[in-house]
Amino acid sequence: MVIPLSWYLIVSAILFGIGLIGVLLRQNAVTILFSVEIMLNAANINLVAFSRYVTPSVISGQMFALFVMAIAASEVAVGLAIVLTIYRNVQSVDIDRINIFKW
Amino acid sequence: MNDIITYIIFFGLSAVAIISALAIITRRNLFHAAMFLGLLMLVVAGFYFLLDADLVGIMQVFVYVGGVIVVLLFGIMMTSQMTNVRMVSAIKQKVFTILAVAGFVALLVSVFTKVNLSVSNAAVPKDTTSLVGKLFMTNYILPFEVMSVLLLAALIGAIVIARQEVKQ
Amino acid sequence: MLAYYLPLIVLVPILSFITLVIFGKRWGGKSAYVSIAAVLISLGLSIKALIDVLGGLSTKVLFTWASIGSFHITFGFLLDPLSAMMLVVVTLVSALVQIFSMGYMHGDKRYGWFYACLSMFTASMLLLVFAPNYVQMYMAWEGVGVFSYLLIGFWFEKRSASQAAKKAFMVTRVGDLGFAIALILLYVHAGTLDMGKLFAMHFAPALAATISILMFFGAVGKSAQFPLHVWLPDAMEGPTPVSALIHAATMVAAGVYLVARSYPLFEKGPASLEFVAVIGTITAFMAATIALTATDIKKVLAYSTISQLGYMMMGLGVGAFAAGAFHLFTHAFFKALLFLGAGSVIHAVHSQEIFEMGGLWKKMKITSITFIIGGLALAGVPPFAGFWSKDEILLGAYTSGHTVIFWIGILTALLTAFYTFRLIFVVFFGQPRADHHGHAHESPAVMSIPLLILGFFALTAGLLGSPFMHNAFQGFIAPGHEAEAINPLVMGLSVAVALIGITAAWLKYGTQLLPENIIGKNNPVYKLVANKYYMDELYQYVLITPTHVLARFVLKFDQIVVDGIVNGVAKATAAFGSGMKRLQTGYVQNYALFMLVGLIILIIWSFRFLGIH
Repeated sequence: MVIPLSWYLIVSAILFGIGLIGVLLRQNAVTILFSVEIMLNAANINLVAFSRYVTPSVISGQMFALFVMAIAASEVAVGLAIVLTIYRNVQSVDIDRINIFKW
Repeated sequence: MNDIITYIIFFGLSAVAIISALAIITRRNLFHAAMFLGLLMLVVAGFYFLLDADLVGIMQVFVYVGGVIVVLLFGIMMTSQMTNVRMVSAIKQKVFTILAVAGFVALLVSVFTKVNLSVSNAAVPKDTTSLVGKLFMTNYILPFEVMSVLLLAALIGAIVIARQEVKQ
Repeated sequence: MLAYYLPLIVLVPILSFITLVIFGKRWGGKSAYVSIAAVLISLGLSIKALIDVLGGLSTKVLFTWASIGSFHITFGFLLDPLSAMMLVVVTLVSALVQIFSMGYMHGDKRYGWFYACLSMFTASMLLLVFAPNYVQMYMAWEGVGVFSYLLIGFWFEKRSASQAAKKAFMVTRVGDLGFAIALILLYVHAGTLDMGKLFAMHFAPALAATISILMFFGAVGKSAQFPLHVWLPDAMEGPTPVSALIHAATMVAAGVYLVARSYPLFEKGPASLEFVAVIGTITAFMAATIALTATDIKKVLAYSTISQLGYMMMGLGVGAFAAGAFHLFTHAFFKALLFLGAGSVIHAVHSQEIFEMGGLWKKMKITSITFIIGGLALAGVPPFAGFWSKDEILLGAYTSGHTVIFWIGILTALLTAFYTFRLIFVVFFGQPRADHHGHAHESPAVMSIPLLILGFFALTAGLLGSPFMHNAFQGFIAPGHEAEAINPLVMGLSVAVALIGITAAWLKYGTQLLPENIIGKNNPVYKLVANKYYMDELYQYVLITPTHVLARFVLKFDQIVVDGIVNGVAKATAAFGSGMKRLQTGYVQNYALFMLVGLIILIIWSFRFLGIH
């Protein structure tokens, strides 16, 4: 308990921001997948930190973290499958090439 | 003395986490990036241990480092040209993204520092593993079951999507 | 005793109208019988009504038409001496005109429609005559206007006819505006438009005069008084029987009827009566001078009608109420006679130019005799109808001290006699001036019998109001306005000028005694009169041209400013859209960035609820 709660929150915010930059700027679909993982982990740190500091006896935050992990695992599986399919179809994972929503 | 060690561990973990996160999004080589992601996952597991969340930390190591990273590496290695993709977006997107993200992080930080969070000093359960197990089977039984369905769906979905079309 | 047959007088012609609108095309020439039968029924009932009134009946049958809160619109059938007299005149002239039309309109392709219009016109006119309140009167007033419009433009294939119809409709509309304002003022100040209640109320003289003058504007339009008389000569484009019915005997008399009906209101503001008298005098004199130069037989009669309507207004204006109504009564007969006679002539020679006619006396005896009777009545020669009524009006002007009006009236009577007999001498006597007279022949019986009947009335109708009958007519119409005693000076003067006028016309047109052109065609006075005092040109340059300029300006304004705004809105929207579409880059990361920006804004906004500053 020597480290204030806000420090964890700040670290997780910074990690989240880095992940966000990755999602918004990288062209490579796989890198974007990585960045999403960073963001999920940043969120998990928050959950666990709150659980430890605010409700130490009720470990609901940890439970949520576990659920997030499970979702993250399935997300990676599906996401990677999509990336592979795109790669097979357009021989690239550059998301600028996948722009059928353009005006 | 104990406090100082805790501080050192925290700052060390934080520094490694931030550096490896930056490395993930800047590395051109996807294999290296995946390695840094594994490092980040381990560091996050370290945070969990620091926060007395033993089971979560162990799960982090098992699921992420042992599962997710391995899957990602397989995926990367299955696609030869996935590496060496153009890394940089349009300059406008870049500038606005950095501004927006910096603003967002600054906002969060200012909120976290300004808000007085009510910290409880209650005792931490000794054995989180058995407690988590109990909770999964009692209070969180429904999400637990839904999660199992979700994982199954993701498993099947990933196979269906990634399956090579067999040409007649 | 309630007279519940009164609605039938109006309903029967309306039924005839509906029937003819539906079946008129199929029945063709047989349509006339339906319409004539209807109007004869109306005539019979009208005569019964007149007899009832003579027996002392004066009634009002009322129906509530619509109730809006405390405001009740009623329509009803007011029967009193004035309306009974008008009923008989309208139905009688209408019946004779419709019989006449069987010959005149024979073979016309819209025969059924013609009779449908005549029926409905008659019904509207009867509704107007019956009106016990101004709402009904205004409605019927517009109704006769509409059917007058339709009948003037009956031969709408002719451009001049459709133009004349439009002109008639629009010019009378100018006057109707005044009428409408008068009604609004009346309702605002009195809270009712029922005549009986209004006439019993007390009004300040200035207010009563204002309302009356505004109401008189309506009469000015309808009765073709100066300065809104310009439509009536053009209205001669319509079939001649229509001119006889609408533009001589009935509709144009509606204005006079309105003033006569509203006389108690006019009396509350005496200034308005002076106004009426002055307008009537100007109209009478001006129209008579124009009639001197007109060469179209129907135009001469049209200006004569305007002039005679001016006389009626003059009579009402100087206080000779009964004389005005009397002149309305006699004029209806002899002017309808003259128009039908003109129709008979036109039917025979297929021309309206009087200097292309001549010598018709030998070929058309009945037409000639009846036309001369009508002419004598119009000129005011005793004992014909026009003499007694015109003399009454002049007498009224004399005894009420309107000396100027009296002398102008005398002068107008001279002019009237002159132009009437100019017409008669040119058309019926002398040598034929054009070769198409070889085939001129007397009109068939359906045309000549109405002429004879009207001739009879033109000869005798005046006697009803003559001193020989103790001024029975005036006593009947206006018990409060007993006729003046005979004034030998006025009567003698009026007979003298009539005879002088006839003699002058005979000298000029019946003999070769006077030189061909006493007044040259280039004489400025002649030019002024022949061009109808340039009234049409005045309206053209003062009203129509500026209206066109304004309309073009408004058109430009609409095209540039209004359309510009509309198109500008469209263009701005399109430009906004094509600008905004650049946000739709198609790049998921762009969209995610916008999501982030939105999230930031939401967080900042949520601070207010979290209490963070």
